[in-house]
Amino acid sequence: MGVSIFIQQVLNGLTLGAVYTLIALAFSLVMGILGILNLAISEIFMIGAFVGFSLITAGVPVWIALIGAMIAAALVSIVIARIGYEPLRNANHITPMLSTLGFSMILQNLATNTWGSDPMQLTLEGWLETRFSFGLVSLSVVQIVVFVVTVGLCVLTALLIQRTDIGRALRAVAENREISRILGVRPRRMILVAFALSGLLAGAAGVLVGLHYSVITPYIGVEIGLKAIAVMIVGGATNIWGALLAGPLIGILEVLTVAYGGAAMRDFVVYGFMIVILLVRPQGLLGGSSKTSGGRV
Amino acid sequence: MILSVRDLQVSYGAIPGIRKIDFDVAEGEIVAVIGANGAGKSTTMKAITGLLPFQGKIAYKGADLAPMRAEQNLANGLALVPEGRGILTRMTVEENLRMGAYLRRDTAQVETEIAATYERFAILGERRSGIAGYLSGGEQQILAIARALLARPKLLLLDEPSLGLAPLMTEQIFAFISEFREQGLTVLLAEQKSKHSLAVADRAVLFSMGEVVASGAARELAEGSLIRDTMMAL
Repeated sequence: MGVSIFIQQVLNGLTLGAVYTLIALAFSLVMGILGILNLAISEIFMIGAFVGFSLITAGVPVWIALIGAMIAAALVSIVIARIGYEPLRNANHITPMLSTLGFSMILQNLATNTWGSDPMQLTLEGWLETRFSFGLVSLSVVQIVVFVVTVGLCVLTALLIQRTDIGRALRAVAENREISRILGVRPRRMILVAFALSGLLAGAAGVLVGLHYSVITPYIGVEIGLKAIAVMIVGGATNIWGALLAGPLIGILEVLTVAYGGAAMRDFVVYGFMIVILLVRPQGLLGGSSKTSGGRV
Repeated sequence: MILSVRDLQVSYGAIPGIRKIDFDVAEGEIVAVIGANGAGKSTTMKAITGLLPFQGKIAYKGADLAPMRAEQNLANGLALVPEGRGILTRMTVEENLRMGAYLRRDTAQVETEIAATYERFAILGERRSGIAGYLSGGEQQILAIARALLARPKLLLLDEPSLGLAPLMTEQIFAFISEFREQGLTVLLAEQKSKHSLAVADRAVLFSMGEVVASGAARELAEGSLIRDTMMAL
């Protein structure tokens, strides 16, 4: 019985961690190029969730709703890049960060006015309702969808960054903007690409969280977004793939804490873990690798 | 003339970097820009490439470069190997080379040329999967030149390619530059090492304090004492 509950909690933690990983990657993509935390990503994630929910509720198939939410989130992200970042790109790093914080408040306000502040619920129907049971352990189709989409998007992001011209250009801009220019890269275009990719990932994470919890509010961005920042820090500020390790780790830690220590202990343990990592290994669990050190992209 | 620089002035804020520079580069020739530290060589190279705004006129193949961005200049055949090599230290050797061909769309030809690069510069072939930041200074310089060649430049700008290199590696780098002449590539070479530069160049321009103080055939300048006296005076 005890082992079954433990396995169940680990599976639940992996699902939650998968979503954290996606949002942490969204933060990393912008952080890597610009060196700033785009604080609006949490709310872009929330917008993705609402757009996805609205499309599914309107009868749009889940896969198309997922893509629609990703595109909507990417567009919001591009608007933030154009209006909230570009005019401030030569200012001190704190200035564009504050600008993205302002955008996050606007997005939350926009969502409250559009969808209301009450929780929006989704009734899963058809194949999404299916659960597979293995003794006392069960796995829902939604959990499988979350895993598959997260792994798929991580693999696609990895391939894009490591194997394509765009990925190399993003990394070139992250390492040395002037050198990237003499190689023919347009840094401003790459900044938009980074914001767009970041929005795509955050939007997907929004839909997945919505499916997982079946309920969303305009305030989910803050809580989950902050966890994703913790994932980014724990994974390693100098390694782009630290989130792949830290996401599931923090997801499992959080779920096990709730299961065995009570919900009141959840944030204490997660953020306490982040602070311990900052104190004993400031570069994060995977930080310091030569190939990916410095710029995170 | 493939490149014509007239009354070039570049300032860093209120500080004048270049006061008045005039020179030309004809197609197929190697022109050396010689001068001590702070003479304005790198500033000139950056202005030509599109990395710095300037006053005066720079014309490349007759077209005014003032409104052109760096990537447009590269697309038009103007490639820079910057001072300090400018390799992407976190990328592999191969990724650096691929970045050299970033604007090219003839993928198959690029693959052929990368393979040829590994044959021509054996050390790059041996270290193709290695992190470029771990190469020696000389190897990094070879990588930076090979990367620029993959852009298929018409005019190659080399900014202090021998800076910080051991004598043997310096000889090798200048041997490569001599080969460029045989291939018909036009080269603008900024250097402090006047002896080496004049040996490979057709013509030379001597910079001092942001101005041209002498210019002429490289052989004539090598025979006179003007360059030595100017460099000694600084």
